Amino acid sequence: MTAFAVLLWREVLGFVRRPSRVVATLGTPALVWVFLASGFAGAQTPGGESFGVYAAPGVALLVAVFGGLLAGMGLIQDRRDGFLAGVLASPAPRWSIAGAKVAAATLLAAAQGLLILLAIPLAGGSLTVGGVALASGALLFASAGVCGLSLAAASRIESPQGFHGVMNLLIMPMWLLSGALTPLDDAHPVFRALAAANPLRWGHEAMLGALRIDNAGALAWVVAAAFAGLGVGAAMLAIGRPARGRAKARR
Amino acid sequence: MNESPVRLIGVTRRFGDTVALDCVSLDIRAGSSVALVGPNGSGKSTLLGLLAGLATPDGGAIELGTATGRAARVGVVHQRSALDPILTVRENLALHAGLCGLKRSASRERIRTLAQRVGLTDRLHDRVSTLSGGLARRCDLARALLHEPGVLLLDEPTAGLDAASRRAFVELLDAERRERSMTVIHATHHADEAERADRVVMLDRGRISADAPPADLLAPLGERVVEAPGEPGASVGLLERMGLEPFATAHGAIARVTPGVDLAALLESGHEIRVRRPTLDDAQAVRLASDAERVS
Repeated sequence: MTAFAVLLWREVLGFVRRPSRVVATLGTPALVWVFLASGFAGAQTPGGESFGVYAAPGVALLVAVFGGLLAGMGLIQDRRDGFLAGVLASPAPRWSIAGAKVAAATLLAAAQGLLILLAIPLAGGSLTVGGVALASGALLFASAGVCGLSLAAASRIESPQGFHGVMNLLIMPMWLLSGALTPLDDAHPVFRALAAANPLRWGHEAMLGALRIDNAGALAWVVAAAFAGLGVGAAMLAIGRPARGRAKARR
Repeated sequence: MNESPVRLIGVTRRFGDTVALDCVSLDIRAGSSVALVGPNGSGKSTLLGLLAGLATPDGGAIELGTATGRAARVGVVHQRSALDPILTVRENLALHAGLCGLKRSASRERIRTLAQRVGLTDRLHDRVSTLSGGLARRCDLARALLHEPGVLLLDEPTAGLDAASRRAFVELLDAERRERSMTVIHATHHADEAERADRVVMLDRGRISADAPPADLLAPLGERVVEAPGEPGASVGLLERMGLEPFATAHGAIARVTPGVDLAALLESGHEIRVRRPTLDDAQAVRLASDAERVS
């Protein structure tokens, strides 16, 4: 197996063998969804769907956010345990190490987010194969962006507490300003402007559009894809480079 | 034949204002073993980290490979175990075989052979988290040897092990070295481990303070030294009152047994002293004291 494949396998195996990770990633957003869906059952939504159905893509995004946070924590743990040093000192190319980390985190986060989307009929909504496929694509983009940024931050931050603080400050406002819980059309102009610059908002819009079978617009997909590229690129650069020094080692 | 020399040419590494390695140059012959010794913060781990490719130097150059330019394969046993505790021994070894680019059939064979050599055949299907510290370190050694490296780097691999586990690890390492004629660079705080190397490099505040075979470093101390254990200042005072020339160590003080010293009288003096064979720790203490004296 290639270095990329074995590292991907290790991440998935580690995830499966740590049930607490599934609970941490999926449990809280699922509970949030249940409480919101029941608490706002009578609320009006732009598409006329129940609030539970409207909130599902946002909750799937929250799963991606939690998945990204957990991936970052995992990287810090790997560094503290010494596992990361063993991997980085191996002959495996750095891009494959960074790529496997991002790919595993993205796939695991998106797969769990997909479970939320697939549960939409439980909230009274309906799904089509095409809609789910497209929404999964948007979710994959959002997950790649969030997980990539999270891994990039984790590769440069030593303490789990510091990482949590930074990510909560960065990612949670992005999620809250994504339209995950409330439509942003009637929000204060400042928030609307911030939301327009928020890539998660576009990911959310692409997902919502896919599930409603209406057109989310090309811009949403372009921004969502660009965010994925940004996250993956940041992680590849941050993990894929050895600690700085000016001279080259000849090997 | 092993052809994996290691060469450092004026290597410098800084962490902010701290100079961890200060223009270090080393030429290590292929197939030889070098022990890196020195107090905490002397630059041992930084040097190994640079050789392992975990960081790049701020100045100078590192060459790992043959004179013909073929890159050396490097195996590393880190200070902390590089195994994933949630995976089994076999899974960990298979993972690292994959990282080293071994094909599946070759990897299976190497894992079987190495597990046998390090005494882990019965534990291949156990999770690493269930292994004792000594067994986990052996598994780390097997991991580092999977791809048959030409250069093996060890960063205090026996730190935290009990005496029996440490002895077992060192004997295993010796056997592997003899068998495979690797270039071994081994950072250690244990003088007895360093004395097994062909050459000892002493580091002090990022600089090489001595570089010689163990016998040459021990020679100036003679056959025996007198040791007074305890607080270094008090121990130095005690040996001075006995008419000796003491040097402070981490655990007290030592003095050479020069011709004319009446050992029997010293031992009967009622003070807590003992006579023993000198170690590299003693040689390092003497060298550090001499350097300090020269500077002052």
